[in-house]
Amino acid sequence: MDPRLDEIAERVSAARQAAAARGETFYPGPSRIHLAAFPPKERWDNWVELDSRAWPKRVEKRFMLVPTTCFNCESACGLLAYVDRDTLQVRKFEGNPEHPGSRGRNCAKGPATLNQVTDPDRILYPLKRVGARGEGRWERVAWDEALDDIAGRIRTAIVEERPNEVMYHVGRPGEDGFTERVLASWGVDGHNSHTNVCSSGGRAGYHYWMGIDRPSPDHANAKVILLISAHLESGHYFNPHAQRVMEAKQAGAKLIVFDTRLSNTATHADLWLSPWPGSEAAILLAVANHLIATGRHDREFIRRWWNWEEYLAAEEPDRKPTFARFERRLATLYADYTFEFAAAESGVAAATIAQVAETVAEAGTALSTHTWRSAAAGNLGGWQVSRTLFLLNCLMGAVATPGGTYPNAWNKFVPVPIHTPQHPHTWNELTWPVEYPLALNELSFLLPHFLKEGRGKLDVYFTRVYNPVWTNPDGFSWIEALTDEALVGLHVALTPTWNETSFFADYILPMGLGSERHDVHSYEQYDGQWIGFRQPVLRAARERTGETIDDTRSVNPGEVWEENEFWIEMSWRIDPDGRLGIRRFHESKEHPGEKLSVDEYYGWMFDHSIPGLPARAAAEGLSPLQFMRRYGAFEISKGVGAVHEQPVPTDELVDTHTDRFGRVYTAAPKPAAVNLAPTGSPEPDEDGRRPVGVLVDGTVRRGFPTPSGKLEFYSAMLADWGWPEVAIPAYMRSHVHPSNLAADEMVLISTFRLPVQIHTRSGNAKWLDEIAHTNPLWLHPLDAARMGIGEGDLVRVETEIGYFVVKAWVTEGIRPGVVACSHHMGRWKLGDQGQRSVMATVALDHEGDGWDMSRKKGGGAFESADPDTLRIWWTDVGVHQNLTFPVHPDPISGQHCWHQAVRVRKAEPTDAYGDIHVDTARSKEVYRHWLELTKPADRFSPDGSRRPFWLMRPLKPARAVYDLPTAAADPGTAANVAGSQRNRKDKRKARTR
Amino acid sequence: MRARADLFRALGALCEPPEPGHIAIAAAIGLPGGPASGDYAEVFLFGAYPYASVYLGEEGMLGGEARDRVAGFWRALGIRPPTEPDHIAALLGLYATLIELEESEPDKARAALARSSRKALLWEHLLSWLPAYLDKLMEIAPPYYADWARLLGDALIDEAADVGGQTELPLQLRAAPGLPETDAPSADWVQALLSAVRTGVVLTRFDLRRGARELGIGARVAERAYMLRSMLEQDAPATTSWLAAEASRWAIRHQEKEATLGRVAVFWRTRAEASNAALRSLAQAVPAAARDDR
Repeated sequence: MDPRLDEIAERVSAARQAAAARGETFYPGPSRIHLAAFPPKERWDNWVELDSRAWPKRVEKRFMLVPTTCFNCESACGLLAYVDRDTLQVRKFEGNPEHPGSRGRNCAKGPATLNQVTDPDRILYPLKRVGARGEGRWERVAWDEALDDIAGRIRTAIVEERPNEVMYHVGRPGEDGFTERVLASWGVDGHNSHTNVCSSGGRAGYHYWMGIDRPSPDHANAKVILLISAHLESGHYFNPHAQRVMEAKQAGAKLIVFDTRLSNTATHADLWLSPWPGSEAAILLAVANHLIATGRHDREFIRRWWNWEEYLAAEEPDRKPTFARFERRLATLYADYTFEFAAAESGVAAATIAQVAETVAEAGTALSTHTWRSAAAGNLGGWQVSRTLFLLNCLMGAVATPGGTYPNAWNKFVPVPIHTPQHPHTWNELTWPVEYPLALNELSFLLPHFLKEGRGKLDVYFTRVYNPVWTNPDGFSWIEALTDEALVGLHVALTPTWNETSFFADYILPMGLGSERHDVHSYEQYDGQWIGFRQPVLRAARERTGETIDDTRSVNPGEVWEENEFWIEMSWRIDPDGRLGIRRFHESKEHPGEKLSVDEYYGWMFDHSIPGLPARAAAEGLSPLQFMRRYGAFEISKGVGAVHEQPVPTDELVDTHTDRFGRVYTAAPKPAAVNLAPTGSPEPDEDGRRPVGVLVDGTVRRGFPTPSGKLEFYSAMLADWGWPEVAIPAYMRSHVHPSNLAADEMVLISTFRLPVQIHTRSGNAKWLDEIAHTNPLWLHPLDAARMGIGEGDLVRVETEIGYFVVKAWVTEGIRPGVVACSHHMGRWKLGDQGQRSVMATVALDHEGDGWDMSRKKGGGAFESADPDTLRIWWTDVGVHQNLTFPVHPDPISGQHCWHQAVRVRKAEPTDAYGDIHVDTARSKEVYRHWLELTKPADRFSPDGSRRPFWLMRPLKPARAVYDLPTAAADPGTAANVAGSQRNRKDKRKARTR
Repeated sequence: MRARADLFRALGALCEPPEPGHIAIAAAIGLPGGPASGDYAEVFLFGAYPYASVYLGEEGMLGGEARDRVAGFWRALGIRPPTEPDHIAALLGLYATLIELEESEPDKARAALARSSRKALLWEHLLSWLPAYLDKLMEIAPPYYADWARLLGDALIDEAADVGGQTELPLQLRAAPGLPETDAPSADWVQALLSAVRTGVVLTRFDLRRGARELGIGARVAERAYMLRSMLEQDAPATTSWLAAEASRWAIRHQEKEATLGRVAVFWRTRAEASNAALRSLAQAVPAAARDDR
C-alpha cells in the first residue's frame, strides 16, 4: 500500500469524522447516490448558486431554502422554496429531499407554483360584487367588512336554528381535517366535498371490502403491478407512486395497465389492455376465475381473513358453515367469467386476458393494484371495478404484504389537534339525501337539482378551491341555482385565482397558494407513515431572520390570507362573546380567552401528537415546530406491516363477547387515539361493548374496521339495504354497455387528465399552459373515415342534453367506437376578469331552459407586469364539454358516472369552435330518471337509520341523528321507519349472537 | 482500510457538480484550489463524460449493454442500482461500501466474498476503462481536476496491487467488438470511432477541436458524432490520417501501463494498434473532398 495514499486517506477520514461529530453531511454526493444534486440541509440557511440570468458573468445569489408542500394535486409532494436573501422573494421551487413521499422529486406542477405566485391575473384583494350576481362588476372590500357580513349571517342562521343553510363546498382539501373541525365547532352538518364527481366509486369498492376507502399499493416491492389508471402521469399520488412503479420495473416487475386510451402510462406497460369502457370488472373476474380454477389463490389467507362464514350463513342458513363448503361454492361462483366471456364484453383478445391472468398468478403476495377514478368514476356500477380489482389481492393474499396493497389508514397519519369539537347534532338532506344511504360522499353534484326542487336553501355557501360550474356535470343548472338569490343567499368563493364559479359569487376572498398557507397532510404512498407541513415560506424565511409574524397577510402578496387564520377569525366573529360555545374551540390553551395562533395550533400538535418527532427535533436542538418549519416533513414509521394480524393486547380484552362469526367485543375503554386516519367505525354489540378484534384460529387479532372484522367478500350491508344481488363482487353492465347504446352512438371518455395540468387550479401557471392548453377529441381512424372527418376538422358531439363543437384528433390511441376528450381544458370567462392565458372570452345566451355559449375570443398574448404574457402564442384553449353532460348518480355509491353515450358527426356549416348548447329541462329529466334507480333509506333501511353508521362519512354527525324522522309526510313510510327502528336492536342481537 | 473507503468516497464526491461541501473534501485531499462550476462543466459536461458506458459501450454513448452490465453487478450484490449506476461517483461509492463491508464483516467467509466482489468491481468496471479515461483527463483538465484524476489513478493502481491481478480479461472488454471493417466512412463507422473500447482511443470534443485546428478545417460546435462527420465531410483523408496518428499515440500510452495493468493494458494497446492500421489503409482509400478555404 502506498503510504502517501494512506496519509491522504487518513486526512479525509479525520475530516469526515469531524464533520459527522458536528452533525453535518461530509459527502454530499456518493453517500446519497440517488439524490446527489440536493443542497445539503445544513446549508439551507445560506445556499449559494450562480445567477443564471447574469450569465456569462458569474454572479452569486444567496438563498434561504424553506420547505413547504405543493398544493396542486393531492400528492402533497415536498417543495423547497428558494427565497432570495436580498429581496426576500421566492425565486424558484424545487423538490424537498427530506420529504419521505416525494423524496425530492416533483412533476411539472411543483416548480410551476412559482408561476401561480407571480401570475399577473391572480386575485390579491377581497372583492365584493357590484350589481347583479354574475354581472361581472366588483369592488375591493376590506377584510373586516367581509368577515363581519359573512359571520353575521352565519351567526343568525345558527341562532335561528337553520344550521343546514350554512355549507362549505370543497374541491382540493389539501389538509387533513382542519376545516371539518371548524364546521363541527359551529354545529353545522355543512361539509360538502367534490368527491362524488371524483373518487366515490373507487372508494366504495374498497370500503365495502375492508372498511377503509383507499388503497395503499406498495409498488416499489411488487412483482406485478396492475393499474386501472394513468398513474405514471396523473392522478392521486402519481408522482410518489410513479417513481416507485419505475423502481419496481427496474427490478424486473411486470406492469399491467387497463386503459381504453393509449395513455403515457400504457406506453410503459408490459401488458396494455384497451377494454370497452365499463367492461373492466368482467376482465378482472375472468382473472379471478382463472386464479381459483388453477388453484393459484392463497387458500389459507382466504380461510383466515374472508368473512366466508357470514356469506355461507346467508346463502345456506340451515347448514353448518365449513370452509370446504365455501371453497366448493367459490369454485363455481365465477365459472361463467371465462376468458372468452370477458373478451366478448371487453373486445380484448381472450389470449391477452389469459396472459394477464397468468402474470397475476405469478405475483404471489407481491401484487400491487390500484384504481381511483378512471373506470370506477365512468360507469354505472363503477364501484365494482375497485371491488373486483381488490378481489385479486384478496385471492392472492396480497393484502398488507411487501409488494401488495395496504389499506390506506395504516399508511397515513392524522394527528390529534389541540381542540376536538363534538359531532354535529344535525343532518343535512341537501348533501346526504335519503335516496343514497350507501353513498360514500356527499351528493354534491345534485345540489342545484335539490335546491330547485325545494329540498332546502342555502343562506351562506362557501366554495373553496372548487369550481362546480366548470368541473361538475350540468354546469348550466349550477349557474341557474347560483344566480337565484332565493336559493343561495350569499355565495363566498375562497380561491387563490379566478374560476368560472367565482364569477357567480358575492364575495371573492383570496386564499394563499401552496407557499402561502399552513396545513398538515399525510398520504399513503408506501408502507410507512409521514406527515408533511405546508407553510407560508416568506413567513418562515422572515422568522429565520428574527422577525415575528402574527398575521400571514403581512408576508403574502397583496392581502392574500391563509385559511387557518381566516377560519379562526371567522369563528370568533360568529361567536364574539363565546355564548354559542363556538369560540372555545378557537382559543389559546396557553392564554385562555385569547385567540388561538397558528404557531400554537401546530406547535401543540407537533409537541403532543406525532410520535418520535419531539425526540428527533431535540436531537438537533430544535422544538418540534422549528423542526417542521425547517424540514417540512417527518417520517413517523416505516414498515407498518399487516396491522390486521396484530394480536389485541390482553388489557384491551375485558368482559369480552364473541359473536357467531368471531367478531370480538370488549368492555375495556378505547385507548386514547393516536392516529385519527379515517376508517369505518363498526357499531358496538347490544350491550355497548366496542368491537376490538376478530378471532382467528384462537387468537384475537386486530382485523379490519368492518362489521365482521374481516375482509368482506360478502357485504351483509348491501344485502340488507336492498341490493342482495351485488352483495359479493360482481360485474354490472355499465350505462354505456353496447346493449344500452343506439346503433349510431359512441362512448365518450371524459375523465382523463392532461399530465401537466390539474383541473382548473393550474390554469394560472404559464409554463404548464404552454405545454397543455387544448383538448381535441380523440377519434379512431376507422371512425374518422366512416364519418368523413379529418384531422383538425370541427365535429359536433351530441349528448343527452345538448352538444359541443370541438376539433378532431385522429389517432390510433383509442378504440374504434369510443372517443375521448380531456376535461382539463375549455376554460372561459365572461368579461375582463379571469385567466387571460387559458380562458376564452365567451357570450352566454339564455332563453327559458335553453343555454348557448359561443366564443368571442380565444386566449392569446397580453401586456402585463410579466413580459412572458406577450409571448403567449396559443389561442386555442379547448372546449368546456362538461357543460353538456347531465348528472348520472350511481344509485349505490352516489358517484357521478362520467362516461357519455354520444353521437359524433361533422359540424354544421353554422357551427363554430367552442359552441355549446344545453337544454336544462332535459337535464332535469335525466336527473329524475337516475333518481328512480335508487333504493331510498325510508323504504329500504333495515333498521330505521338514514345510513349504516359504520360507513365512513366526512364530518360524521352524532349517532342520534342517524335515525330517519318518524313523522314523515307519508304515513305509510313513517310506519315503516318506526317499525324498522324498533327492529334495530333485534337485528343487532341477531348478528352478534 | 476504513480510511481507504473514505478516500474513494471523497474522490467520488468530487466528480459530482461542485458545491460548498466539496471545499472541505478537496482540502482534506490536498487538491490545488477549489471546485468551480465552470471547470466542472468544461471537464465533465462538455469534455469527458464520467460514465463507464460511454467508454465501454459499442456506440460511445450513455446506457446500453455496458450500463446494463454495471447495473447487473449492483443487482448481483443485492443492491438496487441507482439511476446512473455507471457514473464514477456511484462506482466509487460502491467500491467504498465494499471496502467497509469487508472490514466490518465478522464472518470470514462473508468477508472473503466482499473482498472478491471488490476485486471484481475494480477490474471489471473501474480498471477496465478508468486508466485511459483519467489519462485523458490529466491532459485536458485544469489543475484541480487533473490532480483529482492523477490521485484517483494512483489509488486504483494501488488497489490493484492490494487485491491482486485478474486472470481473465474483464467481460466488458471481452464483449466489446472492434472497429467494423469499412472502405468508406459510414454513419455507423463514425459512431464506432467514438467508442473508446472499440478503437483504443479516448476521443473528446476537445480532441476533435484540436484535430480540426491542426488540419486547418472548420470545427463545428456540436456533439462528437456531428463534429467528426463534419470533419470527414470537409477532408476525409486528412481526418482519417489524423485519427490514425491519435491511435498510434494511444498505443504507446497504453503500452506504458502494461507493467501495472497487464492484459487490460495489452487489450487497449492492441485495439489502438488495430485502429491505427485500419485508419491508415482507409485514409489511402477514401477520396479527398473538394477543399475550400484552407
